[in-house]
Amino acid sequence: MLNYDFDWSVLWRAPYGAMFARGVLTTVHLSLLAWLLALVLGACVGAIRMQPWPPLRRLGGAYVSLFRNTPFLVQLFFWYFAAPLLLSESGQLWLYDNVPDYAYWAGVLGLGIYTASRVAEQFRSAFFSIPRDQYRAAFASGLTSIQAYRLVLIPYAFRLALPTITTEFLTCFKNSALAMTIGVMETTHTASHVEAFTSHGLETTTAASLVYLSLAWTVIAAMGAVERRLRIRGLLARRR
Amino acid sequence: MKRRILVIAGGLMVLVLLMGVAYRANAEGILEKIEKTGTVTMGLREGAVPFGFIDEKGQWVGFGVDLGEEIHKALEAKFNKPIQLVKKPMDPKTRIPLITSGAIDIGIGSTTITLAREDVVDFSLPYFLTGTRLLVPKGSPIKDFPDLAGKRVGMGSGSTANINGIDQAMAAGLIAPPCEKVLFDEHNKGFLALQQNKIHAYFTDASMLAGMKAKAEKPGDWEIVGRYLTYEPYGILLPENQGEWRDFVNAALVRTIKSGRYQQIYDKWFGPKGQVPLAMSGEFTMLLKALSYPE
Amino acid sequence: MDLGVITRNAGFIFGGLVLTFELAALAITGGLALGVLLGAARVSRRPWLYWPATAYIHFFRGLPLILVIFWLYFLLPVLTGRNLDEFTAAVASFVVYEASYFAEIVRAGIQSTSRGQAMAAAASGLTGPQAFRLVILPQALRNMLPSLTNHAVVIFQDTSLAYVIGLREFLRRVNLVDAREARSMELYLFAGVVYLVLCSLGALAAQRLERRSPWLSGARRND
Repeated sequence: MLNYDFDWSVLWRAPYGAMFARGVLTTVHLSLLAWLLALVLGACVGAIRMQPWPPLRRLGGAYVSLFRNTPFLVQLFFWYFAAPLLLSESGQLWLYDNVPDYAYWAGVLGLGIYTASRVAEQFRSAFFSIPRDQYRAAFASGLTSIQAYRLVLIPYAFRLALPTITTEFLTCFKNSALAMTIGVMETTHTASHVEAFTSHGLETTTAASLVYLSLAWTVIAAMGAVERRLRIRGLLARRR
Repeated sequence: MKRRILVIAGGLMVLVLLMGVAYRANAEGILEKIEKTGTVTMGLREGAVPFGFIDEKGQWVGFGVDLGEEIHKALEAKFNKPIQLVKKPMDPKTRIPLITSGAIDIGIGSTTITLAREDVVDFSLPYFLTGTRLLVPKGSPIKDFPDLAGKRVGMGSGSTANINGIDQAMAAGLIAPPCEKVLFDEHNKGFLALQQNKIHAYFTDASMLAGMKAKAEKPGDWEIVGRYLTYEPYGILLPENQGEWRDFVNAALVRTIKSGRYQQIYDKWFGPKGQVPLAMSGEFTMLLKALSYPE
Repeated sequence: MDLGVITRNAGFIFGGLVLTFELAALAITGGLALGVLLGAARVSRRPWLYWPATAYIHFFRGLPLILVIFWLYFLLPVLTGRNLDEFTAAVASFVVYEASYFAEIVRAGIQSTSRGQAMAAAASGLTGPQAFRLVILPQALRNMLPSLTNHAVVIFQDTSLAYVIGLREFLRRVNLVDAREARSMELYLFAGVVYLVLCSLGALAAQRLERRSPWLSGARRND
């Protein structure tokens, strides 16, 4: 016999229901903001790593190896605890008084910068697989280097890299759970917070798991649709 | 679509399978288990000075660790054989699950006895008495709870007794407009945030605040202020419905207090020369007197 | 900056690195073993192999690792009445979780093996499982070696999550020293540098494998 009294009402009864709703919303917008940052930054770093000038290329490489080769947890602690110390004391006070939820923004920044290092790698391999003719055509039509990347090559690489980028998007959602370690009240933190008050960890953790699974399936479905729409005609198949 | 449904069905199947193997070991007495296996599993704090922490030599020490040793000795005396003491780390978030899941037989940390917790776990007699106050930088305009109005106040996310206490204070209008609660999973992270001005004050048990202050780089830069907002009697965590085991722990506790050993341990950690000097309050002394039951 | 906090506690902190390596080694071998089985099931034409493996992979890839650890350490004992100690719980979490990632790498590796190899194996009289074990898998594993090494580096970093259940691995010990000495800046930067050095070595190995993968061809084993 299972010696446990299930009480699923901890998931919706006041005040816990509202807490969960806020927690799930926080997971969603934190991850989306971080993802936006990761995509832009990742595309830029990926492009930088393709440049002919070696110092620039090395800079991009250093970015990728720095953020890929340290655990995200350590990075989060750095952004939350250590990074503000680089500001002057008055700057720090201004930051905390005017950015009401610093932990949240540290989470967005940390997750975005970390994910960008992984996205950059996907972009780089996509840049490599763009047919040479595309490069020649882009530059031959008189575009500057930045224009060529912005208008032709990055969109092309994005479409090529889409399947692997979807995986990184999912990982971004899941990694947002670690923001709990710096106090962000996202889904996992809310689940363990409600558990502390109600001692109904089975219910809250089940709910949190289902939230992540449904988010993942939504992302897979949505990205599948995007992939079909953006498929490049004339290619035999998607890479991998 | 069909594929997705199958995948979901598969996921549910895994869950059902997990439920299927669900069974509960028959409720054998913990004392019998300890005698049979010759081991007792004890949950202790790891990062809470001075209740349980890792010292400079990497040793696991503290007030709770010493108290646990006394109970361990009492067990060996009872069964007249060596009993192995297995120590497991617990923190405010994990301590209740560790007890309810049976991963530990007993948990000695800094756990306030609350009626809500009594629903799921048992407690020994209260063996420590403190109350909630505030830690602020020296010279801070915050002198008491009403000064917290509109400020950012840190607290432990597993410390439900503390959170309920400050919620009630806000509901009663003591802190108006309300303060912003900033939650930390460990007190040390909260203290760091206080040092970095991320929060204006840290709110928790005075005994814990004294520990945070004592281990600061310059303890003189910090002060503990404010009235006692709530009283927090600590109890040893025990599993539900283990009357015999609970009686045993209580008896060991009472004897430790009566023999003067408890006072020795208190002085070792909280005495004037201890890690965290904290004079025993009158109420605390009275509590210990009341606990000195006759044999 | 007070770097003394690191020299004072170096013995204690680096002691945790041993546990980190143990965790990573067990997670990588266990995860890879389970991942090979799952990956093979993923390319199988038998529905009773394909669907459970697919469900398993989608299930675990949809969950944050931290939740899997919570499940195995705190909640499974409530359901089953049996306890896992924190080391076993952590290793088990890593194995079941990382297997879902290894499985996809293995699947890609198998699919990249040429069809001719499978036909040749069948023509030489090997049964299906024999062909898989003796012909396809060794080649696939060689193709995947760079990806596998990369993922091993990821797992090495993931072991830091064991800190949430109090296992005294490297990051947990850094945390514990911090609890006593309140020197987060120095300690976390130091932790970052240690991980950076170790993981960069791993990443470098993966790069070398990628560039010169044929060097392995001489070392192919028969089992």
